[in-house]
Amino acid sequence: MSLVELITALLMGIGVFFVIVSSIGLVRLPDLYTRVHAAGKAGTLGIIGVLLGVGSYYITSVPIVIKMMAMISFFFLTAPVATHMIDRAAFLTGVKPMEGTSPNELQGRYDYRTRRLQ
Amino acid sequence: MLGLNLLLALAWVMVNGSYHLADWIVGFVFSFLVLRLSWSTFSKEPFSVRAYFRFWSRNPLRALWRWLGFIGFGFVEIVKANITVARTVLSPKMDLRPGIVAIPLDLKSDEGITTLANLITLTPGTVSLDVSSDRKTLYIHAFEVRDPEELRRATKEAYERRVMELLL
Repeated sequence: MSLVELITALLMGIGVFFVIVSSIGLVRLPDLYTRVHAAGKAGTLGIIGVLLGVGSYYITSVPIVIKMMAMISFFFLTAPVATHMIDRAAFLTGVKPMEGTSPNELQGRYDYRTRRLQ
Repeated sequence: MLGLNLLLALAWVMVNGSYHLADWIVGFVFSFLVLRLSWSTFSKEPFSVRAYFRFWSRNPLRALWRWLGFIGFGFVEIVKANITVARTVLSPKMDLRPGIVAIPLDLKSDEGITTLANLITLTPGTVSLDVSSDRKTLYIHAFEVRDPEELRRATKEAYERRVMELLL
C-alpha cells in the first residue's frame, strides 16, 4: 500500500464514519430539530471526507483536485441553507420541539398568516 | 472586475485541464458573460467599461488573507462540531437540554447575516432557525442550553465579531 492509498483510505474512513454517525443520529435523536443537527453537520463532514479522499487519490491530476475543492466549497455554502430551510419549514407547519426544550424564544413570534417573524 | 474575470478564466482552464489559447478565450468570454449577468451582486454602480477595468477590491491580497483565515477557523469549528455530534449520538444515555434562543444582530447586510447563519449551523451545538423579518434577530436552536445569556454572549463574541471583520 503506497502512501497515497493510505491517506485516501484514512480520509475515506473518516468520511464514512461521520456519515454513519449522521444516520445513527437520525434514528436515535428525539425530535426533528435535534435530528437536523446530525444530518446537517455530520453529513457535511462525512461527504467532505469522502471528497477529500477522491482528491488525494487523484492528487497528480490538477483538474480533479480542483473539482473536488469546488464541490467542497459548494457543500459548505448549500448544506447549512438546506438545514435552515428544513428547520424553518418545520416550525412554520407546527412541528413541536421535544419536551424540555427550554427556552423556546421562537414560540409565538410568527404571524402564521403572513409568515412574518417578529 | 477584470481581475475576477481573469481568475474565473484561470479556474475554467484548470478544470478543463488543457491550457491552449482557445480554452483561455472561451473561459474568458464565458466568465465575462456570467459577471455581466450577476453584475449587481459584485458592484453597487451600474455596468460601464470603466467600472469593469477597476479592480474589484481595494486591497485584494489582504481580503484574500482574511478570508483564508476565516475559512481555516471555520474548518476547525466544523471538526469540533462533528466530534460533539458524534459523542452525543453514540453515547448510550442521551441527556439533551435543547433550546431555541434569540440573538440580537449587529450585522446589517444580507451577505453578513447569511455568512453568520451558515457559520452557526456548521459550528458546535447550534443550528440557525430563522431571521426575523426586520433582520434584527437571529433565532438559533442549540443542543445544550444551560444558560441562554451565556450562549448569546458566546455566539456574538466568537462568531459575529469574526464575520464583522469581513462583511458588515
